[in-house]
Amino acid sequence: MSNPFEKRATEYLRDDEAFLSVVTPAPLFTYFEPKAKDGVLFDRLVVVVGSPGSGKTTIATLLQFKTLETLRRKTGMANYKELVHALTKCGAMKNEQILLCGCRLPLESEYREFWELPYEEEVKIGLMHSLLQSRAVISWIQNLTSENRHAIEDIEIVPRADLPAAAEQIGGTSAQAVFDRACQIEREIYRIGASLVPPKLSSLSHLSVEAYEPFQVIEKLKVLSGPDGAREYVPLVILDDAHSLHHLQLSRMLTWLARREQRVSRWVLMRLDGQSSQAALLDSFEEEEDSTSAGPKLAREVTTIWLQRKDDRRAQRVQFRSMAREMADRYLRLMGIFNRNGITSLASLLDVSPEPITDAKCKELAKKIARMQLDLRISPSVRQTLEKEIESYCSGAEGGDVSEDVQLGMLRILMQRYARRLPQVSLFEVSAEQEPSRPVKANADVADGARIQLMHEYGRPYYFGMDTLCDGSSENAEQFLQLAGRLVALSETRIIRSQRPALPPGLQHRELRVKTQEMMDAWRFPERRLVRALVDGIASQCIAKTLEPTASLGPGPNAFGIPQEEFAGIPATYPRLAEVLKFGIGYNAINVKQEHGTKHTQWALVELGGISIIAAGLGFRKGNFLERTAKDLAEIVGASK
Amino acid sequence: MTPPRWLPCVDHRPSEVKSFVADYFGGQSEPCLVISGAGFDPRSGAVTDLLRKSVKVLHAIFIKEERPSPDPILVEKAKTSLDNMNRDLASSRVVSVDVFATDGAVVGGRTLLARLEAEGLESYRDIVVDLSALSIGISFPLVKYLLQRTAGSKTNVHIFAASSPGLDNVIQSQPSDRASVVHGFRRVNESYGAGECARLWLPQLAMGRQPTLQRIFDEVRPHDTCPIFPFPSSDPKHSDRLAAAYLSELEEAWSVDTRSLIFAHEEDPLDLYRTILRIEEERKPAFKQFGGSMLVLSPLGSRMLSIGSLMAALDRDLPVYYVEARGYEVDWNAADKILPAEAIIRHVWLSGEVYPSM
Repeated sequence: MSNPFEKRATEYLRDDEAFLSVVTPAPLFTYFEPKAKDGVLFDRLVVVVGSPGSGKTTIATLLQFKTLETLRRKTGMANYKELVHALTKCGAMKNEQILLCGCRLPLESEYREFWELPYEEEVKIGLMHSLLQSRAVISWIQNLTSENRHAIEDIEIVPRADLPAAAEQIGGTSAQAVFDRACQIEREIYRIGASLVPPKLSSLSHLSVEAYEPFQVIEKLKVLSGPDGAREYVPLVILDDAHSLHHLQLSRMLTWLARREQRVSRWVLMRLDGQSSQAALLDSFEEEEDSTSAGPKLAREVTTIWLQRKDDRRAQRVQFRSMAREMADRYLRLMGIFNRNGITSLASLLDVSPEPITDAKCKELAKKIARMQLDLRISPSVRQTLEKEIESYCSGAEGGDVSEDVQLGMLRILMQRYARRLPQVSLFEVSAEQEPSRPVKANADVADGARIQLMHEYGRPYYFGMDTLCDGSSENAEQFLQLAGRLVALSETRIIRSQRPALPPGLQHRELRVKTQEMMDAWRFPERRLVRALVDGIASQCIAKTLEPTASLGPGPNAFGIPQEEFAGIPATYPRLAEVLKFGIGYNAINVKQEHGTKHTQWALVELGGISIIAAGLGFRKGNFLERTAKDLAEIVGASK
Repeated sequence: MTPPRWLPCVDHRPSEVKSFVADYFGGQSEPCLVISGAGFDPRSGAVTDLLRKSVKVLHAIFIKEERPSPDPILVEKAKTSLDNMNRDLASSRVVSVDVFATDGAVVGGRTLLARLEAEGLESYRDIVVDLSALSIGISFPLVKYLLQRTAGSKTNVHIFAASSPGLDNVIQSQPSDRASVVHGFRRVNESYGAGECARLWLPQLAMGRQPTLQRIFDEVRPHDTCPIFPFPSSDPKHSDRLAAAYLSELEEAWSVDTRSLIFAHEEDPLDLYRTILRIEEERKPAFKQFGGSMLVLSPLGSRMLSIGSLMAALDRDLPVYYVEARGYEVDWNAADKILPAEAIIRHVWLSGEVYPSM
């Protein structure tokens, strides 16, 4: 049996049943239900933004009519109830009946090529919009008629009540006539886009350039008879991969789709790196919109849904953890070997009991600390006080990973901090017990700092457990599955060898570090070399800070903080760096958190992604950063000129 | 059965090419045009050098493929290569083509053809396309365009390619982020209205191209896959190594049946051409009742096999999918050692006086 974690999402897309067996409803609850409650999912343009692997195409595939219909028929599926519940909450179903007729149109390079045609902008845009609409019409009707669900004669197009005459331009109200007209238009326009040398404007056929606006005309799709009687469906078009378009094409398309005259439900799915570098950095659609252009202000007319990143990052992290658990358990249930052994939860395979360093290493550490105590001239009484402080913290510490080695690590940090905080005295002053300028406290930060230092110094396992797995995947479903896949495969091997299936922390830690390194080596996206240079550059400076004896940032930094204003100027000042950042963000190598207020200053944090954090051996704590400038970033990638 | 367009085909093996060029081109006084890539590729100048020795009036168009932020070493190598190629010609022009638009879209093929529209090509009796250093995104549309433009005229269109499989392995492309169809070739989903046909993908395997081919797979979403292995090949173990390198793709991602492997002679484009045509013919009746059959080609790696794929795509109007390179990484130490020993030149006569019935 192959490991479903190692299969790519696209491998499930061909077969609806296979797809439905692995799809999890969690993203629908997380990202879409709140918008559905506000009633803004199907009455206006919805733009869904997320990085590769965040689940955009999965959602689009799920909402296709034929997928929903398969789900509706397969009432015995294990996740049937949860999926139907989620779809009901999102307004796609009601009383186990489908409300939408969804179709997914991937915006492949073909549509981008219209921008290269040697015609006026209006003509190029018009051709692309007509092609999109004709294909949407074809797909809606094909969805309804596929697998003989409904005969095309039984389908009727319901036009807008206020524009009954407009139905003529789409071929009337009979589904067959509307389908035929859409096919004609598709053929004509395809020929223009695909031609080796584009035809002259004057030779374009009437059919390809005349008015054709089914999105404005079609109100509903009506099935006159069927097993469930007559039904009406709201047409939904999902334009996937919109980032492939030229940014002006995209902007014009969004403006067009945002118009209130459009009656069909319309969603646009896109990746972050597809927007201009500026938009990816500034995180704003409004900047994209030309202020001089007529048309709606996008922010008001558009529902924007960000998959995996938004302001409330703590809540996002919690939501993703729960979604990832659910997804992993669903995948695990597909593997017979775990089913037979009664294992239904990935978390149960990941031991979280701490794995301290060996006694010999512990003794070595104790000796080092004793030497350090002498060097720093710390009296036994001060040491005792610090030890008490640590003991007091450990007795109340949650989480429990405060074994002897961690306590020694904490003591070392506290001694360093104590020595650093002592006021300077002259050579001839009588040595009396000095008080530090600030009290030295043991807390979770110090403990985490000690653990991470022990990882680097003695190889103490640091990355283990379900939460680490989730945090390491930067809230990205595909990355999570890749990381989890390695651990699941290991556990499978252990079962086959009649060993305990649960993986000890040391094994998890080792495998995750190897896997993340492999994943980084396998990066094949544009500008990957410079992105890698950027990641390595940030990581090396962060490690240096993390390993400082005082562990001033606890578990250490994992980001560079650039003054917000300076960061906003990057596209103009360092365009090459902006490109590198764009691809880095788009492919989860880095993340940018803007408007981060610290020390009365606004910062833009260029954070390492989870994969890079594990590979480098850093902590996950968000908000810990090194103060740097845009120039520092540019220098790392050799783009300072 | 539709007869193959190039059966018989006039072509010359590496051992015959020099004498063919001397006999055929050496005996003519009319001008000849060579269209060649002016890149860093060490094979860039091989065909022009060969023609220069025999052709009396040789004109040249050198296509310079511009990619974002090129490696300075490659730029320097390309400049040196162009200087060498530019010697002793009746005339020459350098046509710079931006392979990518500013937003990263692949526009090279379309841009080149728009530029060539203004060129007077009809005055040449022979047009030679040197594929040695041209990328697929440029060379495939170029050849298709030349065949279309010269159809019905007396102009002969030839393709030449200097190949060294070892060199193909040391030049690694940095793939862009998505697969696309080669400009001017058919798409897999050209007509939503016509419904879906059975798609068989024939990827040409090459070392280190797994992510690239996976990207194409995701775009094409074939119903079945028959990977092409270069065999016989100069390195007899090459196919074994490819099979090992692609094990997870073959077994898991693409679900390839072990009976579905295609072996094509590494140095004989016609072998692959005929194989593809045979597969196409055999599938036609089988899938006639199920919406039809469509073969999808993805020529990567060996130049010679790419020529076979190009000929099949031109003959049967097949889709050709690829991932454009944003740049190249070359192991120059290895490249410099390989070239002198391995580069071989092959010729295929595509259209003109030798095919009176075309």
